[in-house]
Amino acid sequence: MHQLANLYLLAYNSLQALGWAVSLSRILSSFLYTRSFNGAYASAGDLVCLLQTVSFLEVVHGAIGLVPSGVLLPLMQWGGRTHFLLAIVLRIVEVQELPSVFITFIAWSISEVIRYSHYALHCMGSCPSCITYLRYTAFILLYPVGVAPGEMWLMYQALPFIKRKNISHYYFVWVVLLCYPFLWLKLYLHLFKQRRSKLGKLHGKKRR
Amino acid sequence: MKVTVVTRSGREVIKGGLELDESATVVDLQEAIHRRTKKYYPARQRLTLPLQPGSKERPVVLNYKKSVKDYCDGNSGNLTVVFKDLGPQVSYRILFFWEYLGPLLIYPIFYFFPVYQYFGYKGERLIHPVQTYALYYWCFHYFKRIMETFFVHRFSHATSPLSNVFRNCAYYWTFGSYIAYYVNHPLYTPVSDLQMKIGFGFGLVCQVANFYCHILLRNLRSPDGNGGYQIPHGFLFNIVTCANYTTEIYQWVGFNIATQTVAGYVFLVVAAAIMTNWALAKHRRLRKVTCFSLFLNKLFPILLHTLKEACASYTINRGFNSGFLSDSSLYQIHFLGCFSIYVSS
Repeated sequence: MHQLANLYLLAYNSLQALGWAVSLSRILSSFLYTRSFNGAYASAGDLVCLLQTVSFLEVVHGAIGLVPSGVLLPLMQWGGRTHFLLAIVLRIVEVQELPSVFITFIAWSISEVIRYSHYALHCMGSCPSCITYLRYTAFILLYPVGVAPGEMWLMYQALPFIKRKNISHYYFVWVVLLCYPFLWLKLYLHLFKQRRSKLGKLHGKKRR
Repeated sequence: MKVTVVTRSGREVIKGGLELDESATVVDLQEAIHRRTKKYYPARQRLTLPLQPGSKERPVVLNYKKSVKDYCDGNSGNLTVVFKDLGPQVSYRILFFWEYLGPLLIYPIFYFFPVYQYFGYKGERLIHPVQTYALYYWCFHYFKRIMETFFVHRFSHATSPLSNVFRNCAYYWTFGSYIAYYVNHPLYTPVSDLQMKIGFGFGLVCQVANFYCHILLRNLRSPDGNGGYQIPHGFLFNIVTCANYTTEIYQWVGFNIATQTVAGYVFLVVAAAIMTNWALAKHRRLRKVTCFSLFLNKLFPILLHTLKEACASYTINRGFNSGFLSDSSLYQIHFLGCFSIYVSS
C-alpha cells in the first residue's frame, strides 16, 4: 500500500513538474519569438489554469494524511493563487496581456518546476543536494518577484475592470491587496526558517 | 432524604442542606433550591455528582426526569450535589426570534431607503429585478424561520445563556447588513436572467424541502418537548443525518447563484462550517458510525461513494502502521472507511 501511495505521489509530482516546465518553455519561446511581454497568458494560460486547479489535490493529500502538510496552509495557498488566476486573470480579458502576468507566470513556473522536482525525487528515494539547495534558495528571489511586481501589481491594475463587473468583488480584492504583504511576509520568513533547518542538515552531513 | 448542595469549591450553597421526600425528582430538587435561593431558577442550575479529586472523568449531570433516589447510590438518605450557576438563561424561542428579526428588518432598509448617499454614492439608484427578487427571497427566508420558531420547532427544556443572544445577534445582524449592503449597492451588476431564475428556483425548492425536514423533526418529539434525541427517518434523512442543515446550505447556494456577491459567499462558507460542526455533534450523539461523510455527503454524494472505496483500506492501514492514531486521523479513518453505513429506515 505504501508503495502504491509513493508511486501515485511520484506520478503526481512528476506530471506537475513536467506541466510547469512546459508552461515555462511556452512562455519563454513566445517571449523570444515576439520580443514582447504580452504573450504569457496567450501561450500558457490554459495550461497554468489546469495545473493550478489540479493542484487542489495537494489539499486533499494533506486532508487524508498522505503528506504531512496539513490542510489549512495548502488550502490557503491554493485558494489565494486560484482566486488570482481564475477570478481575475481568466475572467478579465483586459488584463491578460499585461507584463505583470508575464512576471507572475515566470516566477510561478520556475519555482513550481523546482518544487515538484524536489518532491518527485524525494519519492524516488533521495534528492540530490543541488535540487534541495535550489528549492530552499531560489524562493528568496522568486517569491518577492512573483508577489509584488507579479500578483499584487496585476490585481491593482485589474481593479477598475473588477469594479465594473462586481462591486463586492472589487472591495474584496482591495482587502486582499491590503492583507497580502502581511500574509506573504509570514510565509517568506517561515521559508527562511525551513531553509536554515533543511540546508543546515545538508551541511552537517557533508562535514562528517 | 437529605441533600447537601455545594459549589465546586466546596462552599455550601444552602446552609444546612435540603430535606426532600423519598420520591422526589430532580425537578423537585431544583425547585427546592430555587425556593431557597431566589436568584437561581431551575434553568440556571447545573447539578452534578461530585467527582473524586483528581478524576479526569466528566461529571455526571443530574437528569431532570430522574428521581433523586437514583443518584443516591446506596448511601442511605444522603446525597451531595455540586451546583454551578449557568448565568441568566434565555429560551431558544426568544433567542431565535431576536436573531432572525435583525436580518428581516435590516435588509429592506438597504433596499428601500437612500442609505448609499452616506457611503458617498450620490444620485439615483437603479434597481435591477434581481435585487427586488433577492429582497423577497431573503425576507421570506427569515420570515419562514421566525414562523417555524413559534409554530413548528419543538424545543426541549434546554435554554441558552443570555450572552448567546448578543453573540448570535451580532453574527446574524452583521452578516445581514454585509450582504444587504452589497446586493442593493448602486454599482451592483446583475447576472443573466436565466442564472437568476435557476438560483432562486433552486433555492426555493430547497427552502420547501427544509420546511418539510423541520416538520419531520417536529414529529419526533411530543408537544411538551420530550422525546430526547431520536434518529430521523424518511425523505432526505435516509441519506444524511442532518438533512435540515443540508437543505439550508443548498438554499443559500441558490441565493448566491442568483445574486453573486462575495458577501453572500462568505456567509455561505461560514454558515456551512457552523452547521457542519452541529451536524457532526448531532451525529455523534445519535451514535452513528459515519463522521465526515455526513458533511461531504451533503455536497458530493456520488463523488464521495467512489472516492471512499478507493481510499478506505489505504488510510486505515497507514493509520495503524504509523503507530498512533490521533483524533484527526480517527476522523479520517471514519471518513474513508466506514461511511457506507447509512441511516436506514
